[in-house]
Amino acid sequence: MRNIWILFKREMMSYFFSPIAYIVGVAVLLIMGGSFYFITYILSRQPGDNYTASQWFFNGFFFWIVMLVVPPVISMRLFADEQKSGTIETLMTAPLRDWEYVLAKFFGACVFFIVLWSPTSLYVFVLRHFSRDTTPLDLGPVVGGYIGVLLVAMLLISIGCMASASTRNQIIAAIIAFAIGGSLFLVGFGFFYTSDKYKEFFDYISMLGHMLEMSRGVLEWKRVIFYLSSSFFFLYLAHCMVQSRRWKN
Amino acid sequence: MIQVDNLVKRYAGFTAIHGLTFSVQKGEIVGFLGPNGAGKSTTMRILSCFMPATSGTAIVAGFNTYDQSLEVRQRIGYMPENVPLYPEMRVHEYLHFRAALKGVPRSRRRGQVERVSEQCGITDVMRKIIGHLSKGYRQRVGLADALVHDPELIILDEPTIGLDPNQIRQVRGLIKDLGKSHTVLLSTHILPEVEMTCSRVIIINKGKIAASDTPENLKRLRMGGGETVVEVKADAKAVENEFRAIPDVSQVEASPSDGGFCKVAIHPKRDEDLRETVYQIVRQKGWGLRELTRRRQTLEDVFVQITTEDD
Ligand SMILES: Nc1ncnc2c1ncn2[C@@H]1O[C@H](COP(=O)(O)OP(=O)(O)O)[C@@H](O)[C@H]1O
Ligand SMILES: [Mg+2]
Repeated sequence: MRNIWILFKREMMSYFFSPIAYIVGVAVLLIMGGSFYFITYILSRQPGDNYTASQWFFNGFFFWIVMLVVPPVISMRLFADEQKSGTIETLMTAPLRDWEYVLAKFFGACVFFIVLWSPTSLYVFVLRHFSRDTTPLDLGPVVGGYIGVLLVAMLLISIGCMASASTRNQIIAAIIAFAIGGSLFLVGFGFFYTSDKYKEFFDYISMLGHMLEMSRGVLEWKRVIFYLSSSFFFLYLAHCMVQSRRWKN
Repeated sequence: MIQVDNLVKRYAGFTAIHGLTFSVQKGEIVGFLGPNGAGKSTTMRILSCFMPATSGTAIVAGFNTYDQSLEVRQRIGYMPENVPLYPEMRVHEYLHFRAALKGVPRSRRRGQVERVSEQCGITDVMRKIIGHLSKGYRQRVGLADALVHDPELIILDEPTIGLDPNQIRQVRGLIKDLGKSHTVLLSTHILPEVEMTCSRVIIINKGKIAASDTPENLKRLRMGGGETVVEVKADAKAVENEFRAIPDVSQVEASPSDGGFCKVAIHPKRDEDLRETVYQIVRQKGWGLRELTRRRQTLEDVFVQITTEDD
């Protein structure tokens, strides 16, 4: 546990020294800001839609672009870079366990993702401030939306960890992670194309369905469990890849 | 401190080391010497628990590197070849990070980092960013990292590669100092290095041990002593014949030199000093003499001979 904290601190530091992190940060803010502006614009012209503002925000086209692209980009260097620069050799000959290494990387990326997203929470308050709405703000959908985002991000980052651990090339890692995450996203659409028998299964794994529910303020435990357990599964694969070095051949 | 028994490492289809067996006692400074590709780094990576051997065992500090790797890693300081570091960190941040990772208690971290930075001569770059350091400083930061938790055994893979002669001298001095209180295993393909720093040398070639002894013994054993070189004013033929008559001489080569002198190299059969015998003959004959030396062998001769022997 102590080792995770030590590695985690170093990981956070290196994020704040990496130019890519800043580029991604600015891009996220611009895209989500643009998307937010766009949504407020649409809603102001044709209110009374079936969807709430929160559902718009957490399910728009731009939202999903950011969701599917950012985790691969912030996790691509995690393991690949250590393998390429050789620092893996100093790390793994220090007395730390492989799973501590994997978890520290994973938590580092998750926390960095949260840091990237936190400024968007200002949008909610901006919106409240400038609207004439005087009813108390319903925080449920907003909080639900952010929990939903975090769950999806954890899954995609764990996929990113696995991809990064499988290569020493960051770009390849990002492409693998994006391909797997994107496929998982698309498979969720099977919900609309299958008969009742499979509908439940596709509903279960659909990221879109998950975010629609969460941004309504509905927390479904089966979905939470799906995200946590599949994150765990990909982290386990990442751990196997890190550990494969220690296999005798 | 190190017990290696019949160690084999196969990379996909290629055997890098074939059955190494050797041991290193506490307090020794052992040099691992071999040409590029001999398997030095491979062996050191196995000893430092970076990867396992395909077969055979390696016991380091009393623990098996395969199934007690955590215990081993707590007790060694390893510096890999080319010294990988995090370029974005500052030197003191890096050393604190490494000290923490290696389990140095918080209360002792500052003191330890200070101690090794003085030992390695990096106190004036502690606040610099590692990416901006020169190769020599980076090497020393790597060395400081290997020492920061005061390990029982220090494993250094090519510690002086890429340094200028001045820096090499400093690093060698440092290693010698370390040897007073630590066990050190270092690898190199530079010969004078082991001659100057190591108490024992293991010559490794193509994944096998070619020789293992003190540098002095290796020199003596392998070549049977160096030749005597004499330069006298006389006819080359006559000189050659005269020296051939000495017992214990295996070979004499004479070649004419300037001013009526000729230069003669006399090889002894065994490790024997022929200078006095040669001098007596020269005096007896009344030849003019302007040089009489015994050529000292370097480990380089031994190294070249051993590593090319079976070709
Ligand atoms: N990861 C690897 N995969 C395949 N072959 C390797 C690997 N690492 C080293 N080798 C090969 O093993 C041999 C020994 O390498 P190494 O131990 O690095 O030698 P040295 O350090 O003595 O120069 C070399 O021929 C090298 O090409
Ligand atoms: Mg090497």
